[in-house]
Amino acid sequence: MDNYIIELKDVSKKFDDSDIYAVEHINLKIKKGEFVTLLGPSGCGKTTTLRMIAGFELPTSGQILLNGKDISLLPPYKRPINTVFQKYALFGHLNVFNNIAFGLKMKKIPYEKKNRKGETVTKMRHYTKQEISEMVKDALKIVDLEGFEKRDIQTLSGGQQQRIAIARSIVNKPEILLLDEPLGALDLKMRKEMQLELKAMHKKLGITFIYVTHDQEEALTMSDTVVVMNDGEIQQVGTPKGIYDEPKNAFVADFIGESNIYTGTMVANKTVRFLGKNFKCVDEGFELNEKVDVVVRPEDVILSEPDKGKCKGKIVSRIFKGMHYEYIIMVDRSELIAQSTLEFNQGLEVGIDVSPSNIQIMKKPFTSNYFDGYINKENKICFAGAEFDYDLTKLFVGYHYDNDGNLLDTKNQVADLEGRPIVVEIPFDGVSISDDSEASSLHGQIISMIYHGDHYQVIVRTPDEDDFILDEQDLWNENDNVSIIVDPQKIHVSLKQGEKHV
Amino acid sequence: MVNNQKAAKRIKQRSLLKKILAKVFVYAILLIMYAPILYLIVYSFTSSSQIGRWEGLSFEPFIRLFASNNRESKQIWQAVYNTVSIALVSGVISTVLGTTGAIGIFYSKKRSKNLLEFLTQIPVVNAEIVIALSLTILFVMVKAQFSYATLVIGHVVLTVPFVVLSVKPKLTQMDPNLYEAALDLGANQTRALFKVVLPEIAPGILSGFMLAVTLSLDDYIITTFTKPRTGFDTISTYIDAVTKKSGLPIQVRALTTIIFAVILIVMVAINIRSSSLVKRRIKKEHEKD
Amino acid sequence: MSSKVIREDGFFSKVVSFFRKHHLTRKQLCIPYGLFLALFVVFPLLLIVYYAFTDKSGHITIENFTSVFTQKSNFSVIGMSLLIGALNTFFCLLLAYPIAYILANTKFNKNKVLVYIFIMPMWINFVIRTIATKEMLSWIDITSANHPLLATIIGMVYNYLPFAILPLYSTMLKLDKAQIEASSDLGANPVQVFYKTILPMSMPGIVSASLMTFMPTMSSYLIADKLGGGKTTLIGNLIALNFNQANYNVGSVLSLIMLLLIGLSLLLTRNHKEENVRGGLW
Repeated sequence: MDNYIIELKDVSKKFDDSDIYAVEHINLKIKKGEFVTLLGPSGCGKTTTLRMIAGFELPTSGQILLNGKDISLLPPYKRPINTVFQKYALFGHLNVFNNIAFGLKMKKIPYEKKNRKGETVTKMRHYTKQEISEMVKDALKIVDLEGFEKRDIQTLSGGQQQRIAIARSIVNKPEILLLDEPLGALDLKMRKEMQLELKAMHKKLGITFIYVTHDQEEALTMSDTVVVMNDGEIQQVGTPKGIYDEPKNAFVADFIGESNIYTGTMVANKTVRFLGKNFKCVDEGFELNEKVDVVVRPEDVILSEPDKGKCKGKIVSRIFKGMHYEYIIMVDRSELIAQSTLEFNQGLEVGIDVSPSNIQIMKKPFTSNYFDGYINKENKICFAGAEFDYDLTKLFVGYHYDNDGNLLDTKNQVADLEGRPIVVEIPFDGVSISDDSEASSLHGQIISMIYHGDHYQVIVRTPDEDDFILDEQDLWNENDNVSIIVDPQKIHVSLKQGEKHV
Repeated sequence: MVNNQKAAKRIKQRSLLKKILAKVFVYAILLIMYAPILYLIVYSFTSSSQIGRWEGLSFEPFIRLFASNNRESKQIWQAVYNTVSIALVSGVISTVLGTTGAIGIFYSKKRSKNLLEFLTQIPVVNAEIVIALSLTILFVMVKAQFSYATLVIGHVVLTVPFVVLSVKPKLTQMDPNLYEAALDLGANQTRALFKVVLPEIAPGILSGFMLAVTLSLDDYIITTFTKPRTGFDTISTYIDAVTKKSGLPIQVRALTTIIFAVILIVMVAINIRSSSLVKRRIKKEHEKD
Repeated sequence: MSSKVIREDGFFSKVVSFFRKHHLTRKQLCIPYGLFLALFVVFPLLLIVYYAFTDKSGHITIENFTSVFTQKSNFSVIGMSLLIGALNTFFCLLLAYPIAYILANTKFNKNKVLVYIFIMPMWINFVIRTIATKEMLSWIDITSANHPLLATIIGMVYNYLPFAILPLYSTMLKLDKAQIEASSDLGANPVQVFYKTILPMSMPGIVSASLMTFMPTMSSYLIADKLGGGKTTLIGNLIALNFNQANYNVGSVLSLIMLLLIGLSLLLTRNHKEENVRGGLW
C-alpha cells in the first residue's frame, strides 16, 4: 500500500437544506506526517472537507480512506482523528486536567491477561488514574503550560485556551490532527508565535496535521503542502513555493499573494502581448493568437528610467512599506502594482520591464460563455432559465419565416423543432450586469471578481447554477444580486454535436 | 469659572434629588406591596382571634400551630406537606420532561421544531381556568379518579413549558462544537449528551426547576380542579375552604411568618453565595493578569 | 477483538450510520415531551371544543351557545372581565414602568437584590396573600360590602404587579444606552428623549407586561370571590361555577370565549417582539 494516511476519493457533500454542493468531486491524497493546509476564501468548502474527515459530516458521495480503509461512515468517536476547533470548544464545566483527560477516560486499551486455563487472552481496560495523570502532565508540557491542571477554563487567556485545546487533542495520540482555523481568534502577535510553535510541535510529534485557514500567509509559512480551494473544488495542490511561483489559474494567483493579472494574446511562440507591448516569456504550448491570462507579481516588476524599460507608465501612488515602496502605476489605461526598493516620486514617468521567467502565462479557463439549451414550442431558444428570440434560419439552412412569423421548413411545412438541444455561445462582451432588478428577467449573484489591470472579470451565478462570465469596468461586491443583460446580437447558437443539420 | 462651579453644583444637586426621589418612590411602593403580609406577620404575635384587634404580645398562634393535639394545626401541616410534596414531585417530572424536550426540540428539523415550540406556548398563554377545565373534562371522560396523580399531571402541564423556555436559551448559547468535541474525543452520543451537553445547560435546568417549584407552590386554580375530591388539601385549597366558612385560623398567621422567615433566609443565603462567587471570579481574573 | 472488527464492517455499522445520519438519539428525546403535550394540552383543548358543541348525552347541539348568549348577565360578566382586566393592566403598568426603570439603573440598584425583593411576595402562597390583602383592606374600611370593585382591583394589582415588573425590567436592562445618549446629543430634551427613544425601545416589555397581567386577570376568580364578595363576577367565576355544577358543556363554551379573548389580545400585540414571559424570574 502507498504511504498515504488519508485519501479522499471523489468526495462530494450537499447539505439537506441547500441545493448547492458545498464540496464537489474532491480527490486528495495526504502523506503520513505531512503538514497540509486547506486554503481558500470563506464558503469554499475547506471546513466542510475537514469536518468530513473528522466524521461530523457524512459525504453525500465518494469515499474517505484512512490507511486504505473506508471510514466514510464511521462516527467521529471511532476515528483515530482529533480536532482543534476554531473557538476551542473547551468544556466550561471541567477544569484543565479534566478537559485534557476527557478523551483518555473514554478510551479502552487492549492488555494481555492469563485466564484460568493459563491461556493468554487480550482484554480491554480503561487507563488507570496514574496513567491518565502522567499523560496529561506530558501533554501540558508539550504546550508549555505545566502546572495548569487545576485551573478553571474561564480563568485562561485566549492563547492559553488554544494550547489546552491542542493538548486535549494530542494527548489521545491521534493519527491525524485536524485544526480548523485555530488561530483565528488570537491577536496578530500571538498568532505569529503560535504559528511557529505549531510548526515545531508538528516536527516533534510526527503526527499528520491538516490545517484549515483563509489566511494565505499562514498557509505559506506553515505547510508542507497547500491545497487551494474555491467554490467547493480544489484549484491547486502544491508546495507553498510552487503555488506562489506557478499559480495554475487566475484565482490562485489572485488569492495567493498580490498579483497583476492581465488578459494577454500569444503573438508568437514564447511571446505574449499585454500592456500594449510584446514580452518574451518561457511558457509554451499555446496556439497563435490565443487569449491567455498573464500574471506578474509586484516584486517582479523592474522599474527604471522611462526610456530604459519595455514600456512606460506614470506613478499615481506611492506607499512606504518598510522594506520597500509599493507603487501603483498607470500604463495607458491599465493599472500595475509594483514593489521596489528604489525611490521614485509620485507623478513621475518610469520604465517598466519584467524578466521572461517572471511572466506567468495561464490558459484562460473560458474565453466565452457556453450554455446547453434547447428550442421551445414558440421557436425561441432557452438556456440558463431564460428564453430569447433568435433567427433560427441562421441555424437551419433553407428554413424561412412566413408573414405570421411561423417558421417553415424546406418543404414549406411548419417546422417542429421543440426540444431540439443547442449550444449557446455568448462572448464576455455580450453580457453586462445591472443593479436594476427590472433590467432583465435573468438574475444572479456575483461569486467572483478578479482585477485584470483595467477591468474586472466577473462571474455571476444564476439560481440554476449557470455561470455568466463578463468583463466589467465598475467595482461590484461579491454576493451582490444583479440582473444579467444579454445582448441578443452577440448570441451565437449551434446545434449540439451529434444533431444533424436538417 | 465661578459660574461653572455653580452650574456643576446645581447639576450635582439635581441628580442627588433625582436619586432621593427614586429611592422614596421605590421604597414606598415596596412598603405598600408588603403591607398585607407585614400586617399578618404583626398579628401573628397576638392571641386575638380576629386580625386587626391587638390583644397584647403573645406567641399563642405559634404555640397552637405546633401543638400536637390541635386538629386544625394537623390539617395545616398536612396541607403544607402536600403542597411541598406536589411541588417537588411535579417539579422533578417537569424538569426531566422539559429538559429532554428542549434538547430534542433544539436538534429537531424545522417543521417539528416549529410545531413543538408552538405547542409549548399554549399552556403559557392559556388561562389557567381553561387548562384546569380541559384537564377535568379529560379525566372525567376517561373515568380517572381524581387523585395525587391527576394533580401532579395538572401541575406538570402548568410548569413544564417554563422548564423548556429556561433550558432553550442555554442550548442556543452553547457552542455547537462542544458536542462535536466530545464525539471527537471518543464519547458516543449518549455519553456526549450526559458528560458535556447536560453540564453545559445545567444553570438553565436549575432555574427551570426552581421556576416549576415556585409556580406549583403558588398554584390555586389547577389544584382545585384536579385534586382528589375529598380529604386532600394544599395550603391554597385549605385556606380557601376555611375562609369560606369562618375567619383565618390564627395558626395561619404564624405559618405566614414562618414562610416569610424561611424565604428571607434562603434569599440572603443565595445572595451571599452569589456575591462571594462574583468576588472569587474577580479575584481569579486578577490572578490571571 | 476480531469479533469487534466484523461488527464494525457489517450490520452494526449500518445501524450506527443510520442513527448518525438521522441524529435520532438527540431528536428522539423530545418524543416523551411531545406525547405529553399532545395528551394533556392539545387533546383536552379539543375536548373543550367537542363539549361546547354537544349536550350531556353527547348529541351535537348549539344549545350551549344559545344559553350563554341569551342570558344578559353573561354579557355583563364579559364586560366586567374586560373592564377589570384593562384597569388592572393600566395600574400595573403605571406602577411597574417607573419601578422597572429605576431598578434597571445600575447606579441605583447594584446587585439585583431589590428585584428579588419585588418578586419575593410571589413565593408566599397566593391564597394567603389574597386573604391578607382582604384583611388589610377591611382594616382601612375597604370591604367587599362597600367597595367591591375597588377592593377587587387593588387585590389584582397586588397580585400582578411583580408579573408586570419582570418583563419591563429585563427589557430596560437591554436598553441601548448609546441610543439614549445619541438622542440627547442630537438635541432632544429629557421629555423628548423619553417619548422618542426610551418608550419605543421598551415597547416589547410593555407588550408582554400587558399580556402577563391582562390575560390571567380574567380568570383569577379567587381574587374576585374573596375581595369582591360575589359582586364582581369574572368569566373565571362563571367557568368555576359551571364546573362545580358539573356543567362541562356550558363551561366549555365559556372557555372558548376566554380562548377567543386571549387569541385576540395575542393577535393585537403580535407585531411586537415579546420579552420571554416570566422568564426573568430566576
